[in-house]
Amino acid sequence: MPPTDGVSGSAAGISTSQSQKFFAWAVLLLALLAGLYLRNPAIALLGGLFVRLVWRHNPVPASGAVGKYSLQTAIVLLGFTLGVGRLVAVSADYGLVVAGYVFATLGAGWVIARILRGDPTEQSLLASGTAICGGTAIATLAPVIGAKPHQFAVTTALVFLLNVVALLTFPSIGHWLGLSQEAFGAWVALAIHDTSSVVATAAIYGPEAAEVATTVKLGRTLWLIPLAFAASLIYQQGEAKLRVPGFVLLFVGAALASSLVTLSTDITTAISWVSKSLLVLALGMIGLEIDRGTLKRMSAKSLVFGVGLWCVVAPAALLLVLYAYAI
Amino acid sequence: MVCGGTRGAVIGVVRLRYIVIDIQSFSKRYIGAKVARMTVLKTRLDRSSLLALGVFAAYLLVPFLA
Repeated sequence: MPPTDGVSGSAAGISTSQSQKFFAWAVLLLALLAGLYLRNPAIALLGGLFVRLVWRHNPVPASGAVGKYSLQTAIVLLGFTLGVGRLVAVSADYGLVVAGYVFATLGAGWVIARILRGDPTEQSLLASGTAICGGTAIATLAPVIGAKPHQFAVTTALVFLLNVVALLTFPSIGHWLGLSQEAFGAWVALAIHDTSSVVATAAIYGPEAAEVATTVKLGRTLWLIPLAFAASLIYQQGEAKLRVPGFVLLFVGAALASSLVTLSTDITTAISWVSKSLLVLALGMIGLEIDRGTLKRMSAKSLVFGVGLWCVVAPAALLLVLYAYAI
Repeated sequence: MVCGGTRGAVIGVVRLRYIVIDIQSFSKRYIGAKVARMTVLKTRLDRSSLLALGVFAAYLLVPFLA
């Protein structure tokens, strides 16, 4: 009978929905635990991505905020293991390399955009994201240049996919090339888009690589300030809203504090453990942020532009780092 | 696209809350024209923005000072 069928159909629907939520939670938890146990954030990221793409369901409604604050706390904690002397030394060693990389990437992006003639807004967002700070640069620039929501979503998704590729391949490439911890850390800090993936990839390679990568990457993030300033002038914004990310200042403060107060090895080991655990959690949450709809809206030209630009600048970044390391 | 010919000046401080940056430039397409079309680029910077630019300037100086 129709009413009964309707009720049973509805009940079956609820049951299916509940079971999907259960499996989504279970897989996510398993991925987070495996990532924690193996100290590998890539597992958590893939777990989050798998859950979102297979079940089309995000079991953690506030995954964006959880991921963001976990990552920022992990980075600030890394500052305690670094010391201000090392922070200044690494920033001094690679400051000019970062500047060269930012300008070269923006220049390469401009040239490739002229050749491909795709969507100029998406290409501007992708070039800025590749040059400076992935999703953060895109989020900063999007309102200034008047990007539409779908352009923002598509470019963020593409950057995310490239982050996943880097996270899965760069450590192997580093081992294959026999890169030192410092050289690998500096390379990933330049060549990978987002801070989360930079720190996670470097952490897989080793603790020293993570320290160097975090320091160099946060310096690269500061290039958002002149980028936003220039964009607000060029795109005729009435007011430039330039801000230093609070966690960058806290990271510097943590490095300063660790130089003023001598921390025991047990404490720094514990801080390092908590930092890496938060990084695993952050990557799991970031994996949940991507959905099928956004991936389907990606245009071929933007895909070619983003991948093409990255394929040019990532090896160039390695050469730049090896050159800087040699002199 | 804005290129070349920039002339920047801080033209005013409005109640100590904003600094207005006014840069005059000309569009690339008018290079070589008898009269270059002037484009005024103007943006306001509040204290936090100035602080951010200061932090960035300090970061740029690190390689030279360390």
